[in-house]
Amino acid sequence: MTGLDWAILAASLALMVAVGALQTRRSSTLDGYLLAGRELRWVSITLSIMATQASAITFLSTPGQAYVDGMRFVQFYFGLPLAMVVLAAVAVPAYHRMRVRTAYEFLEQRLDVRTRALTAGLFLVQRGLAAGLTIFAPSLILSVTLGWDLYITNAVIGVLVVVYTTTGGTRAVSRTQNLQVFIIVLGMAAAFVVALRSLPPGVGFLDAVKVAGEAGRLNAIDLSFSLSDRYSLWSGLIGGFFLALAYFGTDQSQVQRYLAGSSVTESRLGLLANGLFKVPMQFGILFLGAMVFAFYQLTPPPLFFNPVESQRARDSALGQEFRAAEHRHYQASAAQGRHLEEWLTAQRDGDRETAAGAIAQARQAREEAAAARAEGIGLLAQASGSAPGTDTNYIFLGFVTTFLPAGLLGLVLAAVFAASMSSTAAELNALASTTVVDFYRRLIHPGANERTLVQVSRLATVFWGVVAVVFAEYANRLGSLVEAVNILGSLFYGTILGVFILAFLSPRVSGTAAFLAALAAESAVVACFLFTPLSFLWYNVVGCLGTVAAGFLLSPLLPGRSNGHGAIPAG
Amino acid sequence: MSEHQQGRPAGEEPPVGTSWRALYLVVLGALLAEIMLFFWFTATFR
Repeated sequence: MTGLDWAILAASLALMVAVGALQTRRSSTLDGYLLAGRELRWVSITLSIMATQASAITFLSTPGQAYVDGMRFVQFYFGLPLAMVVLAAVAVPAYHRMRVRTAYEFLEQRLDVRTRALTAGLFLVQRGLAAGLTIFAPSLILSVTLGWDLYITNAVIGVLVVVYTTTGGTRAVSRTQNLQVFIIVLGMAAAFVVALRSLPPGVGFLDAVKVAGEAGRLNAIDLSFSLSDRYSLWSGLIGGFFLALAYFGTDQSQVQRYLAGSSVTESRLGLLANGLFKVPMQFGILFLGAMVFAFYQLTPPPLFFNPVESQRARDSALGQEFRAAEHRHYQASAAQGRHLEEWLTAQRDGDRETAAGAIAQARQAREEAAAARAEGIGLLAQASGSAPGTDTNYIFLGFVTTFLPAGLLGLVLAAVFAASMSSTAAELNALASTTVVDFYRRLIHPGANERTLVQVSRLATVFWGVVAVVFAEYANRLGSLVEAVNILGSLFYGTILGVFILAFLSPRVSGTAAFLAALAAESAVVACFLFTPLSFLWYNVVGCLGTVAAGFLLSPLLPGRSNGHGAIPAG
Repeated sequence: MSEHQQGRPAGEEPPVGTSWRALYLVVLGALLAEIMLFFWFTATFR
């Protein structure tokens, strides 16, 4: 990194913190602090929703995903616009009518306080740990690729976010997210332009598209149907719909973004615009990955994109064999690039025979390169004494640090920090809101005045920031915990969504029935986790459908009292 | 500070009617158009 890169990165970070920290003026009331005074317009809501969902790992991993597996990952987002329409039509008017501050507050007004406390508690556990991962994941990639200290990178991201989120609350989160989206778009656009400009002389944009397409990396639509295949049109439309419904409709880190809207209209427009822009945005990021892939088809890539792992293998007892595999990989990749250029030239000249020969040779060289890479990864695993790893997360940053000119590298790194900070800030903000609104004000100190509540909200933000940074610092030592947290999320998400579906769609189901249904479904999910080989993604379906089914079954037996809208004062 | 000053008029009800339905259709239509475009994209650059 040059001095110019450091200067751009430092200036961007300082600007983000300053914009956020200056938002303290209108944060003296609880609504002012937690919901930006309920004054946000739809453009701010849309940017805030998109910035909250798109963490740094989105921008670091998604291009690598296209590089390795093609663009079919875009189908994962097809259910999102459907969910936005449902939420705009059903959830937004209900939340606004009840003037709730958290999604879980709605559950008490509709069901009872136990159900509210249960879901709010599940959210705190799940999101509290996830916030640590939001900081840890990009820090790990930055530290490996750039040689930065992991612990300091974690702490810098955490402290910067805590400073402005604590002082300015939701308004600070929203304003900085507007700026962060701008920096992210600028950074990704710069990387895209550099990827195209770095192509060999005579190879243009359409040529790069042809190269990526020929290797099957532009496979944006997959019509096959298989329960074991994660990314197809059907799993994207159906599975993606339920996931988006749960995330945007019941997760406070997202619900808080549109609760801050100045009216039902602004909140609805914010969600619908997200539904319009999200799929093209993901397509753009994946297309960038496809262009990086095309670049590395014409220019030899490293055998493995994680430089630390590669160096460890070179320094190990297997170093000689690993270097030999690297050499074979380089030779085959260089040959592939030459044949692909011949293929492109022959195609331009209309010489079909030469084109057919060149592409056959290119495919042969690609197979040789793939074999050398597989051998090298096997040696890496032997050298580290662990299972073969993946380098998907390191591909994009590896490209950026190698080929971006001075200044632009600083801009892309600022975009990575911006993405990490925007997601973390929204998470800490939501965790503080749930802590104060659903527990402190409702159960611990119902008579607290506004000033006290704002102070406790600030303390809660600091508390959750410290939890997130401490977890991020330990996440590296507890590698398996990363997967455990993903499983933890799936253990609870389905049940929470099921409770919300009962609350929204079934006025006859009582609070007691919903609460017991949630406990029964959660037990079934835990049983699946402990006693069956079911993939954890299916826990969401079991939890959701189990809660809804048990709620309907228990409803005639436990008619009890179902709170009407607003029957109990909002906590 | 009154509710109006806080940003949202008290008792505001969500606007309903054909304009929202039209907007929902725009979002769903855009999704359909994107899927068709991506399908063409996949088939063209296979």
